[in-house]
Amino acid sequence: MLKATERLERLISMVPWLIANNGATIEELGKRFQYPRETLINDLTKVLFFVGPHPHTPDNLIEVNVQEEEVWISQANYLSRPLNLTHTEAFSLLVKGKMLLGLIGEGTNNSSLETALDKLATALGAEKDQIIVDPGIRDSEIYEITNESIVTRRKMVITYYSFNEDYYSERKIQPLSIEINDRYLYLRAYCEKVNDYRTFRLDRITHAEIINEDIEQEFLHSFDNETSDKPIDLEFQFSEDSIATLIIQKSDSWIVSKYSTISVKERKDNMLEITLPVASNTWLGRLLLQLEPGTRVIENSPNIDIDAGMELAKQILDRYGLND
Amino acid sequence: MATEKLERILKLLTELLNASTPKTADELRNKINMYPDNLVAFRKQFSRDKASLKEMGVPLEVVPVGPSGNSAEAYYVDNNKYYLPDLNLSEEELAQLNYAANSVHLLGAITEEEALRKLGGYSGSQHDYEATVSLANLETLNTLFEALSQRKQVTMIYSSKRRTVQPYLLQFKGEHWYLTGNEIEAGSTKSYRTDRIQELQTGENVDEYSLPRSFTGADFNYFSYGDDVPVTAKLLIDRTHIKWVEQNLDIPVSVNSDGNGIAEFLVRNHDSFINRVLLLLHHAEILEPDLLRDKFINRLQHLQKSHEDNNA
Repeated sequence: MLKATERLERLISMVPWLIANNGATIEELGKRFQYPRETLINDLTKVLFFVGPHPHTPDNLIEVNVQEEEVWISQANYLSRPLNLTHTEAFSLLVKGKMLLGLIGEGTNNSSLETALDKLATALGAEKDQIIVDPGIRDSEIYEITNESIVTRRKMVITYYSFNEDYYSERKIQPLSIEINDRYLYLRAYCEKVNDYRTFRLDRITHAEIINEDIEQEFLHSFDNETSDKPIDLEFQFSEDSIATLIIQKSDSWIVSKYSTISVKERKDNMLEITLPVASNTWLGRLLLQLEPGTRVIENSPNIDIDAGMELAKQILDRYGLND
Repeated sequence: MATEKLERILKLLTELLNASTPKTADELRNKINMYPDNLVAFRKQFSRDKASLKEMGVPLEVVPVGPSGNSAEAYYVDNNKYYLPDLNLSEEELAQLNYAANSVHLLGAITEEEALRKLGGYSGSQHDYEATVSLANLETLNTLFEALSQRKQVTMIYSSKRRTVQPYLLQFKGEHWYLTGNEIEAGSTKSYRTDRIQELQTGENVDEYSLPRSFTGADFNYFSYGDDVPVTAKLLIDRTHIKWVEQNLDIPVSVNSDGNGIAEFLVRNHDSFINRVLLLLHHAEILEPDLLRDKFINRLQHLQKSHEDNNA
């Protein structure tokens, strides 16, 4: 049952189209404007029929003709054009259109979408090029396969690059949902390699294929119950047992805003002393390579290698034929 | 009851669209002739009807009328603001907009059903694409889009500094929205991440500036702009990491006959480039130019020496 305001919104959108189209069937109107049949007939014959500016004499009331399932309207000049789009509505339509163009490729088989966006932007005083939408990873084979796998509820086999450990693994997974957190898209899935739920960053999946095995219902249900309302947990990479304390230059203080820290102290020698959780030795090593010379690790958990950065530097220099 | 309310609000809208001058509540009440006689009940109902119109996006304006000190409120709808300009959309164009609306989901945004009905009809059409875009800071984006389409200047706090900006474009990249525009104080074009904008305010004046003939959005390959000597870098990438580089570093990679990757690109910020290459660890090698290769090697050797000195 539509509310009065929902019926009003439909009426003032429908009347201009009905006038421009020179009539339409009840069925067409109902479908196009999501107007339930009985409500539509009621609103045409018992509401619109009695509307017109003061003094409401027959010559200035809207004329509604309903004959054998067809409707015509006249004397509705003041409703002959629809209500303007709000900026929110226009912006979201432009964004969606631009995203779709990005996915299917501008200039290919979508000239109607391009011209529609042009007209829409121009009507608002903007230009369509003032909105740029880069689909990013969405415009990739990996995204397409993952999406199809979720829609068809089939399992996937993926190759995943673990950035923190610097290794690739093959996994059979049961994909459940794609979600956004901050800058990245993540795939939530049940991983058969570890027999548990895992979260994969989509841009780190380097190969994906769908296999002819259905996703098991029990995982879908327990996933829906347990995790669907929870945000992606990015802390999964860090163990509370692995921490390191670094002495860094102040020019490297960007790491404080980029990574979660346990403590940050300013030292008398104008350096910073930072204690932070560490995902792995490779993770710490990569971080140390990015920092200024003079950075030191002064404290570390037993499982963390104080020379993690130097180990990586050595491997890289080996590749360049040095360290001999 | 709902039918009566619908008729009343529709008549109110009709009177407002037909009025050449602002009308007071009493004038509208007399013309519509559907409100209760009781003054309190009338005020309440009239107030709810106005709210319904505003919620739908009807640009209902309130203006004072009558002699100074004894003025009443009158209501007015500017027809130029109310009516959608004639877009002259074809059925195919409308179908494509519907297709886009159904294919792409916006997080934190409203549905476009109402918008599409205004344009000529909504259809829950079938779609082959499925994508989600985040509009987490919707209020900021709406304000910026309104300013951009009306050429209004905005003021904002960004990186603890107050700035006046003439918005040129809004850009979605890497799951964030960016504003590019002319910053008056700096006298140059700059880009800002919109979720970091604070205290955003729009100026009053429409058409306060013109768009330049050409403008581009923010450049996200940080090493491609800077003040260093421009050089073309050639990077060899292990076959295992080609896909990762393409997906993470936004760099096109061609594949060699041995299956490994080669990427060539212009570098104007040497340190930024070296930091990116370091992310690849020993899975890549700078082949050219010697300038960058030597700088990369020196950086690692310097780190090694510094580490040895610290441990000595």
